[in-house]
Amino acid sequence: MEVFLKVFRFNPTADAIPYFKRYALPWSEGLTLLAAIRQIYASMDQTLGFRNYYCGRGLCAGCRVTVDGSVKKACHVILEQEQEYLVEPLKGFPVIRDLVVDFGIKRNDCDSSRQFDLKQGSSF
Amino acid sequence: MFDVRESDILVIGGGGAGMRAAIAAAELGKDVLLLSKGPLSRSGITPVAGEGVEGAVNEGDSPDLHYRDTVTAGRGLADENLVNALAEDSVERIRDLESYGAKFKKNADGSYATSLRPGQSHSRNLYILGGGYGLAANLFKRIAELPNIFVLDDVIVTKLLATEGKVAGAVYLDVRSGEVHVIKAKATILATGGYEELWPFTDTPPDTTGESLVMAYQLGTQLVDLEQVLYYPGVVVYPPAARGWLVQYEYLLNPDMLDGRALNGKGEVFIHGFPARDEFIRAIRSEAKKGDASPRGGFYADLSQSRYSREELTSKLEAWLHQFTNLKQVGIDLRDNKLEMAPAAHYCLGGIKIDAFGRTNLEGLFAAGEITGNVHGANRISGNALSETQVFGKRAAEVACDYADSQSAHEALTDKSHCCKDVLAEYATIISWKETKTDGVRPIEIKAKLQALMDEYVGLEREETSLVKGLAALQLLRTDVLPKMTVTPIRRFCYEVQEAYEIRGMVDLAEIVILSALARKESRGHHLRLDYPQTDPVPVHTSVQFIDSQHQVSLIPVAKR
Repeated sequence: MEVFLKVFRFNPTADAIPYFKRYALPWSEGLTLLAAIRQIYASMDQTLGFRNYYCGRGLCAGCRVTVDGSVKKACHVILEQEQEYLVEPLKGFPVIRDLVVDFGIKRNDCDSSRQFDLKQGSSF
Repeated sequence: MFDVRESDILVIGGGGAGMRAAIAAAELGKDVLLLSKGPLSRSGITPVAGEGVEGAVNEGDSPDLHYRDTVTAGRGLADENLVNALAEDSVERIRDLESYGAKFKKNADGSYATSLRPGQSHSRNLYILGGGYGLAANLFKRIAELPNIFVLDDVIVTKLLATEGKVAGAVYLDVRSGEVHVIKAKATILATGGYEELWPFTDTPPDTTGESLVMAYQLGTQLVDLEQVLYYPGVVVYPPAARGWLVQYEYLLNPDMLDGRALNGKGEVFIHGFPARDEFIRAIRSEAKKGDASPRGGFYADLSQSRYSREELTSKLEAWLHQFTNLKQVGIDLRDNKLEMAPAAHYCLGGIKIDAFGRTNLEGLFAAGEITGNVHGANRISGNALSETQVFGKRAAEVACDYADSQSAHEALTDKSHCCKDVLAEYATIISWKETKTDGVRPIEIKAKLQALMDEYVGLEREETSLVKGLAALQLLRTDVLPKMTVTPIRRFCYEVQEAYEIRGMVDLAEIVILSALARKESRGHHLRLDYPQTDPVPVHTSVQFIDSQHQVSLIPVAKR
């Protein structure tokens, strides 16, 4: 059983245009997109640009990516077997390389959903 | 080309302590440069912390009781002057957080809602909304308001600069561009947290590698009690989607909160009452020795036997346990699913020896937060870690500013050719890692080898034979594997180069952790020696210091108030 990820690749200093690379990974119960991205880097393609410093449990919101067009936390996406997913960098932020984006410094402004949640007292 | 940037204060580390230090220094009018290994407020350990912040706010409670409880929980190794500072300042620092916009859970009458944690004589844990992230996000908001703080995300410090015994800045790699730069600072504050990544199972994010602790050590900074690594008793091992998540047993098993049960592998209740962390771990280990632990070496946390109705349970879970919603996101419902949990490396109690104002033994170097080693002692009460970041972040910044005032303008390192040499040396290191090697080993593989070694020989329970074997295995890793390290030759955002710097430091750090564990010939707090199960009558710190290129291991007294 496998799962397929089509991952956005772009190194602005080396590539003329972005492209997609498709990876086939062994699937297992409860495999998250974050775990799958880490697995690609660890055992399939060390050139994949990603940032590894995430909490992995929905708190930091740093691992957000665009999955099939919508923004999601990679640690919250449970992959289904034999499915293919289109994985792009977080929408609306400049790409540093591949899946790594620049959140910028005044980034609370563009993170109103998070602020709303803080006011409500629940964290996600 | 490279930049030589100048700053009054350099803060290394972007968690709660580093951010609080940056704010305090900026409020005193200093120029501050804040370096963070990942995106500020989204990386480091602070965002994954639970919502507990300790402060004596309730009637009948006092800083003195906070002090006494913390000293008792420290099993003799807490520096009383530091605990005194922690207890005296906590409530004021909580008010600072509120002024930055942080919200704390309140009762109907406007007083703070609190909960009682093991080791507290009074209910003393306030709830910061949003948990550790709520704290980080609000510190970040304050930082964004202060124009004299300059933040750099995605950098790794590669060397601390020192001249004539004074720390005077750092060399760092900007991971985004792949460029190496130099910062000259009048005072440097280290706040880079712990080194949990030396072990394979942790509940902390992967940035907790401790390489900057080693850099400080190699300059002569005195470190204490490195063997004291707090294991959190209940971190999810199964289901896999939540592996490594901390779900606080202080709520799950607390009769007043969720009233769950801790069950062993046979489904039997094996703890009674509400144990402190080190006591709970001993209970789990004793089940494991009988062969009665859960399949992955831990226990089950089960809410199905709670005395509360499903509705009550739901409202309690929503009110108190911020992981409840997160677990639902990955298909786990705490009301229906038992969690299998086991101890994981959670907090490094040991580290840099500081005084009550965050001074280290090196001139120009200050430290705050988890990287420091003598605040809590051999065990820590829940909630004191976040208080620690705020109290000592501010204290360290204030004395660092005083120190900076006493320094003439960057008297050290005025010679640019000197900086040039440092920068070129880093490039040479990086290039050597990027060279093609026939039998090259990736940093991630070396990390896995190191973690396996630490787990086998320097885990929850240690003894002389295991520690000595660990030291020998580590030596082989250093001589036979480390020189073969190879990284992918990409310049722009190459995480692998960052990892190479991490593992280089981790190997050095592992050695002094083992030396400290060997030196403590007793069991105390989170250090369990199978060959020395006794607790000695007089508590002492294990101390390591690098003098004349030699590790000096010694036992030193614990400071009294």
